[in-house]
Amino acid sequence: MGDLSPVWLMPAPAAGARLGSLKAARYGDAGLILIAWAENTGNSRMPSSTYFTMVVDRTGAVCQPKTALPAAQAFTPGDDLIAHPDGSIAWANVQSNRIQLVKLVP
Amino acid sequence: MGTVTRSKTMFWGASLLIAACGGEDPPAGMRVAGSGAVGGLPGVAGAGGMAPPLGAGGNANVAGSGGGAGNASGTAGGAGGTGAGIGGQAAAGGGGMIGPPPASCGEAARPYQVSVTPLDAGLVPYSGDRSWAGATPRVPVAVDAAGTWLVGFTRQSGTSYSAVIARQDSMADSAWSVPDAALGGLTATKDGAAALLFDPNTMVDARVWAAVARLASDGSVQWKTELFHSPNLEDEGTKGGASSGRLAYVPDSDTLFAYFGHTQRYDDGVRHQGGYLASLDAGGTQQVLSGWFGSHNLDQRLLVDAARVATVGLGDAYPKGIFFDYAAMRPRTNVIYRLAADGVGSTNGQLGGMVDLGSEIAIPFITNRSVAQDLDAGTWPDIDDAISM
Repeated sequence: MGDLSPVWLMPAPAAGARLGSLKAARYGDAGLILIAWAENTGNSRMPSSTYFTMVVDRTGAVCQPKTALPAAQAFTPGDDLIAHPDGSIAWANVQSNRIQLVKLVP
Repeated sequence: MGTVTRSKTMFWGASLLIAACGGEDPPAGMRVAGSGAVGGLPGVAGAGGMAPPLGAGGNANVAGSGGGAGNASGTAGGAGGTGAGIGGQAAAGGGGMIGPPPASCGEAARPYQVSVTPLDAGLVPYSGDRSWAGATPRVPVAVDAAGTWLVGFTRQSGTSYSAVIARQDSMADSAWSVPDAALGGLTATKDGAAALLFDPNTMVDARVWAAVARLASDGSVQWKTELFHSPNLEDEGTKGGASSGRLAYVPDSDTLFAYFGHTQRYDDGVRHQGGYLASLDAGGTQQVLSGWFGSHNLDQRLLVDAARVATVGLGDAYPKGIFFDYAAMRPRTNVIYRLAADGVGSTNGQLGGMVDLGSEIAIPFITNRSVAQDLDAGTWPDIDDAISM
């Protein structure tokens, strides 16, 4: 098949931050994509992550700019964003040993 | 960060991918707009190759998330975007044809609203340890046929573990549970849910079985099928070490698809790591589509595309990079984007899922573009440590 040609995005991570936990889901009904990711700093003993979203179209044009999520709306590294038939998007996280369902409505 | 999109109407045709630049030093001008036509036949990378064993977990370059405590709920208005956006109802799940783009995507993207709902405080997930896929618990989400959100997790009780599926309003004693298992994946079915299950041994490398269970709408287990169950991990051909997987469901055929990383003992006396892909029919009968799909297969994703299931994997050896195929008997590890890799468990990239855009599938990923993707540390066991590091 060979390499496809990527559309590159510019998340502009903070200085020293590493991108991680990338997620994506269809956003709305106009062919847009919700991109969500973590920016990680610190080390394995003292990790710190900040979570962001951005909405882009298939050409990579930014439809909603990079937006920080509050810590309560964080997502886990190993799980996906899931789309509901009504258009909402959900994921779960764990805060202080309690599971939280996070729902995003475009 | 980037995204590749891949045409569904022309299997080997033009595709579009969105990618994201990662790391500390994003090069200037890294946005390369447009999709490129991909000519020629698919490269079949990785047939017959083997890669060495990996440490616990096996995911490459996946940074842990901190996820500090915060308020229980909140709303984040989406910045940017303006006005009314696109009216009408949202597309269901994925699929659905996309109309012509609006004059500006900013007009199409309505600001979002976010709500946070805590589940019952008695639903406490096992948080793992450093030897079990890191310290962050997995809590996969699914939506059932009635539109109810489901959340899965692994629960510890004393020295035993169970895979649990909870509805948003479940209490601790009413959540569905499959005993003596760790949750490896979750999906909803037309009449309940299904779970990808792993041996709950907290040492991933020591796990000896993987299974799929299908649950009815009352939470009862309709069937549980072992995908493999090895008597030990020493004999040649024994499978184990199941980790980092996904489970998907195709309503049209009432079929489940399980895709995950695992290990197998080969005749060189080494446990190698690779992918495992299987389907299970409505009665729970397994068909192994590939018992060795990519080597290593460091991360996996599934996307239900109407009656088909798209797969992507992340390889560091056979092949190196992101590979794609639809789930079918003997799938190919078609590389759609080459990534630098060291053959011993690390690649210059991470998967970001798949998004169905109707005529295309977008495959976001992260990579550090300051590293040449053709950088090659050699072939195991002859790895150039200077490059690998």
